[in-house]
Amino acid sequence: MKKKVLIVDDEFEFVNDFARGLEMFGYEVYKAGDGQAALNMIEKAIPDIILCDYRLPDIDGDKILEKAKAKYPKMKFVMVTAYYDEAVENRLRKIGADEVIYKPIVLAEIEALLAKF
Amino acid sequence: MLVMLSVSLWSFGLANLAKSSSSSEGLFWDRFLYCGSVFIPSTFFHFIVAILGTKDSKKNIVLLGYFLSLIFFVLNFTYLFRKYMFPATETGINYLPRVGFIYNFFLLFYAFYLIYAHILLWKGIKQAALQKRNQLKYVLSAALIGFAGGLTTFFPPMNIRIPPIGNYFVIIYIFILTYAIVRHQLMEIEVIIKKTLVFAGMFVFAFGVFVTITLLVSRLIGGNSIISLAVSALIITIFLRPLETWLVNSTDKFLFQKKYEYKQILKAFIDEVIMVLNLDEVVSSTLKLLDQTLHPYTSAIFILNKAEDKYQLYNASGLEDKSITFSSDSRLVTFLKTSKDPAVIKQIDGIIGVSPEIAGEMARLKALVVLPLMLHNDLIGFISLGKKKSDEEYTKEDLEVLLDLARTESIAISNAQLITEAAQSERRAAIGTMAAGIYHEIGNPLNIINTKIQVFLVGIERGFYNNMSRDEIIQECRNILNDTLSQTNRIADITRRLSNFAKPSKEFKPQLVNVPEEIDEAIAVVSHDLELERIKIDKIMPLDLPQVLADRREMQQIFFNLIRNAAQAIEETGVITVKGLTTQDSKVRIEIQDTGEGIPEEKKNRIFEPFFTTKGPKGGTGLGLSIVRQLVWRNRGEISFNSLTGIGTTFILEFPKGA
Repeated sequence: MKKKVLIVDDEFEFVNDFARGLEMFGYEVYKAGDGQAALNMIEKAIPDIILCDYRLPDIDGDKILEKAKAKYPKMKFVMVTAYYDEAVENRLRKIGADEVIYKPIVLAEIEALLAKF
Repeated sequence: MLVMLSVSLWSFGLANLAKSSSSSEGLFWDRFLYCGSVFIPSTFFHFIVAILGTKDSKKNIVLLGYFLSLIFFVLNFTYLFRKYMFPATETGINYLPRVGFIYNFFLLFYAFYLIYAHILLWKGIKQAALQKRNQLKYVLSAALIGFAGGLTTFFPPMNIRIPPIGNYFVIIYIFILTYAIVRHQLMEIEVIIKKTLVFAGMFVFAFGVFVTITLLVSRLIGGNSIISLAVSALIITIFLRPLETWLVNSTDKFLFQKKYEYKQILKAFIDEVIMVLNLDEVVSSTLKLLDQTLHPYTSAIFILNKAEDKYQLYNASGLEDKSITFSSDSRLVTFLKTSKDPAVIKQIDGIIGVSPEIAGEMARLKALVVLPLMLHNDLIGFISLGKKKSDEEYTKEDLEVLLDLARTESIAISNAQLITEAAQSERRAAIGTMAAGIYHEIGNPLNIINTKIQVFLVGIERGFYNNMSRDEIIQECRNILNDTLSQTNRIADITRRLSNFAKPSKEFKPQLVNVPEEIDEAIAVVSHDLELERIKIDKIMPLDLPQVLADRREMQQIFFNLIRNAAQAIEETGVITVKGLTTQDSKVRIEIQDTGEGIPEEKKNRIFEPFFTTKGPKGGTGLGLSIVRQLVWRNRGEISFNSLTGIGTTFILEFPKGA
């Protein structure tokens, strides 16, 4: 049984490439382009892992994290962001993020990370 | 002046005496000339001690001189002084007096004072400094010639018959003295003329009033001198002071228009310099102005370097060593700090010259005058001025205008310093905003390219392309490279915009500016913040909006700051509307409207102040609008705003249409 991964990002091309990479690693990948689509997809697909961009056009990543963890505490949540900010990272971990990774992403690292979940 | 008056009375009398046709007329003119003559010794002595600066120690002798002059003045009208007049055509003068015995005492008095004055003058020359020595030499030689000549007029009354050719020497004396006054600043000629005119005007007025009143009173009431005196005194007291002010002003205006103009120029400059925001410009324009109006050999402006606690030469003209500094405990600085007065080498009308130690420090600057630049109670710098090329001395009037200039200069310098600091922190804030833009606009494409390549490489390694045909693989590569290319173009575009925007505008360079284009640039830079904060931006620009003659980068800065402010005023979601239009009086008008919080009523009149912010402790540097307004003004524009709390704020810019 393949693990289900949801990728949330407003950069359409990135989402597509990232998804292809994760499919090569053997995951079943779902995609969302904004916060609302992500929340819908969480309910629809109930993924095992969420890789979510922090800055989204409608709802910020931390809100999605809080909602997802509230309803599905076992769901793994990885925040993906371009802006390094220690305070933000600490807060995200505190509210339940399993990992915080930075863009540009490194596929090999993500493969290793997801394998641990 | 009194010497001149005495001498001229005497000369005038003498000239008439020479032409007198009867002995009674001769007597009249002889008495007249001695009215002047009796005062020559005392006034001349007074003059000499005055220019030697020994007035105080010789005060009694001066007073005694005037007292004796007065006695002889009275005796002049008696037969003790002069018995009768007799014809003496052969001397060139028609009538000469036969002197009485008092006349001998007069001669003694005359001789004593003149000889004593010349001895003092001789001593003075030996002691005086070089410049003063030259002045005194003129006086001495002039006086010797004059009196040697004048002396001959004493011979005829003494029964020694030679023609008084010496009289012409007296004229030479007056010439030399006048030359000395003008050339060597023996006294300030303009001040003398001014004072004389004012004095003459006042004297004529007082005398006129007195005579008129006396005449009127004697006609109407019949010669009551006490009433006429009282009435005259009253009128004179009431009108004399305003008359004096009027006379002083009008002599200034009509006689010394050049001088008056330079003061006007300085005053006009004072109004202008306060508007200049660039420290270099403030300093160099001030030096240039001082150069053009006062023509000093040297001028310099020193500004406090707070970090090193010393005063550094900021800019100078006529000084070779530009690395001069003054520590804040140097004597000159200490003097300026404590007295807050100008430091002058030589005494100027009541302002005492500085001590030799301070003068020594001022000599490094070749300065005669140093003006403190005070702000509140701090000495933020000073202006030094050297000798004037015209050889004129600095006057009290100069110093008054210069002190006005110094006061404004202090404010202008400190404003410019503040604005420089402000501009720096403003730039830092702008860089912050742009950094976010850089992250978004460059970071994202980089991430896309990066991921794309990694995925391709992983695919190759894991054999995903093994089953694909050659054409399929080529197509895959083409897709990847095309996508990469479009992402690099995206990066290239934003770097071009940012580099274009971020270039600091050093010099003011007006050119025809297309307003919508610059607004686009500004929006492009701010938009990353806007996008993230979910702010919509509407742009309404008519296609025929005229261009504006302005500095392009400054216009970008204006729009950038106003749009960013608008964005920061919107808390959650909102709309910024940027609207361009041409007004009825052909001005280009730009309105930047936000749906933000609005500016509270009590803060409305303060928003253009530097360091004022409505954004609370963490928002903004508080410098934006004060800079924006200065930039708008500099580009000949106007800025205003409307604001309603809870509804939003609209900033309105108006610029004259370019060309």
